[in-house]
Amino acid sequence: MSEFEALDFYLMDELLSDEQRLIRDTVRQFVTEKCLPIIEEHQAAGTFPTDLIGPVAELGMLGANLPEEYGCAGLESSTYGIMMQELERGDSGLRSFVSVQGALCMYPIFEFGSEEQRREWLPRMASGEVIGCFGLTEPDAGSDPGAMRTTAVKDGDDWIINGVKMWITNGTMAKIAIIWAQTDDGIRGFVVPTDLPGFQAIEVKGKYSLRASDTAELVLEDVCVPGDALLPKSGGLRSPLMCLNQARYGIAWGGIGAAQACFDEALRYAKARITFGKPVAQTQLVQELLTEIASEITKAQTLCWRLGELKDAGRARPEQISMAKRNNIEMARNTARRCREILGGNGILDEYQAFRHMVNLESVYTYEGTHQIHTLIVGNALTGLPAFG
Amino acid sequence: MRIAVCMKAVVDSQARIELDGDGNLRQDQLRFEVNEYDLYAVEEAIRLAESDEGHVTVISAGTADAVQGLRKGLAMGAADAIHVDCDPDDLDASGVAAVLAAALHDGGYDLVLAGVESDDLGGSQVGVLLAEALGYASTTLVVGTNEPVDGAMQVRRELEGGEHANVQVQFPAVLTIQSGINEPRYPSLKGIMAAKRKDLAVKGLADLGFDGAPARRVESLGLTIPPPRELARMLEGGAEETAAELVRILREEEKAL
Repeated sequence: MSEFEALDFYLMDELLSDEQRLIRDTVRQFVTEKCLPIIEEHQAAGTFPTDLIGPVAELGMLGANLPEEYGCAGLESSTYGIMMQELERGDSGLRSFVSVQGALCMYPIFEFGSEEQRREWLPRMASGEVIGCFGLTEPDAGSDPGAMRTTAVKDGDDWIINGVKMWITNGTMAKIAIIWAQTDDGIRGFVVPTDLPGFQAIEVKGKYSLRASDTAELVLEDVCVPGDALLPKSGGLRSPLMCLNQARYGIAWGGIGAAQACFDEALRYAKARITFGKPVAQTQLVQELLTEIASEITKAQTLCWRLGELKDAGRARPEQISMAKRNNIEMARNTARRCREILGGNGILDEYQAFRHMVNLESVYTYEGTHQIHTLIVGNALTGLPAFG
Repeated sequence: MRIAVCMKAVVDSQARIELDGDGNLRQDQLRFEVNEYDLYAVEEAIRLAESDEGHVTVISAGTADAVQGLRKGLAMGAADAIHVDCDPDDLDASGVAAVLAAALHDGGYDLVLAGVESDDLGGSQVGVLLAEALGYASTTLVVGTNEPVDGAMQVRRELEGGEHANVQVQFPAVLTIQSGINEPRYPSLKGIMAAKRKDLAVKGLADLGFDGAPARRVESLGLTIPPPRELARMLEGGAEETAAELVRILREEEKAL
């Protein structure tokens, strides 16, 4: 099969700087050469492709938008988004790994950590030596994280943490966990080494979706961390929500990548597949599908481009990020399904990508703020009337 | 060790190639990318430079399309770059060699590396002509290098049929690099961002002492797309029969077995 060709109906490429184009092409080549040849095996086996951690880190994709002084690449937001788009063209699990490491673990250490914490952790996390996970969601506190039951209680200079966290990406392979817990001072974040007594990570089995991703339940029983494990500038629910905003921004771009992978495959197939003596791409029903998909991808691209500009200018509001995550992942989910239809019966086979993206996007639709929560965030911004709960 | 690497922007192998009525490429359809062979040359240069704190300069003669390749070379690890700003359509291979030589001859380079050929025109001439223009030693089809010793280097050349020849070449020298000599690294994101801050000098032909482009002595008369080959031959019959016939064709007609 010839090289992947991304839809660019509105000539968005012309907006890219030389550096952005080179980063896009580099990550695209990396995904083609290193991820796609192995990803179906991992999807089938339900394993994360740990062999990719080294190369991903070496390329500088972990915490890529954090400053160079901590060993990171210092990308601006739009360039970071382009990187995420290309990663999810490979697999949502791979993009999730990079999102969690960068936006949910390195970002809070950078944003809420002391200078010592930054220097201790960020360079080793950028190099892939230390993998992190993010413990916010609990079995009974998903869309409503303020209802979390995990507690951290002061014990002399130490903290004693108890609780259960659920749906934790990178959970079993992480060396540190960013754990959010109720304290006398409200919700605070802690950097918790996962080898401490009382810390347990249990792999979540039986997933139909994001199979090439490490998902765990974390159980913390009287885990004792020293006082300097507290992220000193964290305070209240706003802190973890700031992390989620970083991640959601990348996810909005990622949706474009997954959709592009499916569209490229379906378009090639439709042009090559002969039915009733002509390519199925020459039928009105398939052209309608292709036109709708291409229109939606193009709209998603323009949405993200503008959002990136706003974020680079420090003006992106949470509800704008919510609108992009909500729109683009719904778009990608629908695209994957429609592309699966275009592939006909072949679309259920693992030699095509559409089905894998389709099932992966079920998770992405529901994680990092469900589709419905993002609806309410935008609704709240439009009306000034919160309708949560 | 000072090393220069020649890079060329070539027509993207994935781009749709269409000819106009005069046998010229329709430029509006074209996209450019860096010549793949040149990436092997850049990688080899960087590895050689890393082992003795050397300096790598990447150079390209061409329009603005050449800059992206130079940026990639810088992002992979070259220290600086020279863009000779000219229209490559005005130049034949000896003209390209002449302008590159003019840009490189005061640089004090021990080695100049170039891809063995370009992905688009495939002339395999510029490296050799450049050696001639610079008065450097020249060796082609290099598939292995060694640490330099006393101003010379042993290199391995690929011969027809797959054998290798070991040769010793005196510095300064031009080596043309064959694919497969190494695995070119991905430019890291940090490298790409750092490349923005590296020196990329732009030189016009006048800056290099030329009064206009050196005259072409080989002129392109136009391109043609060959007629499609005969359609595939369909073998009729059962599995055993068609397999036997296929083996006969491969052995007797195509001499492939």
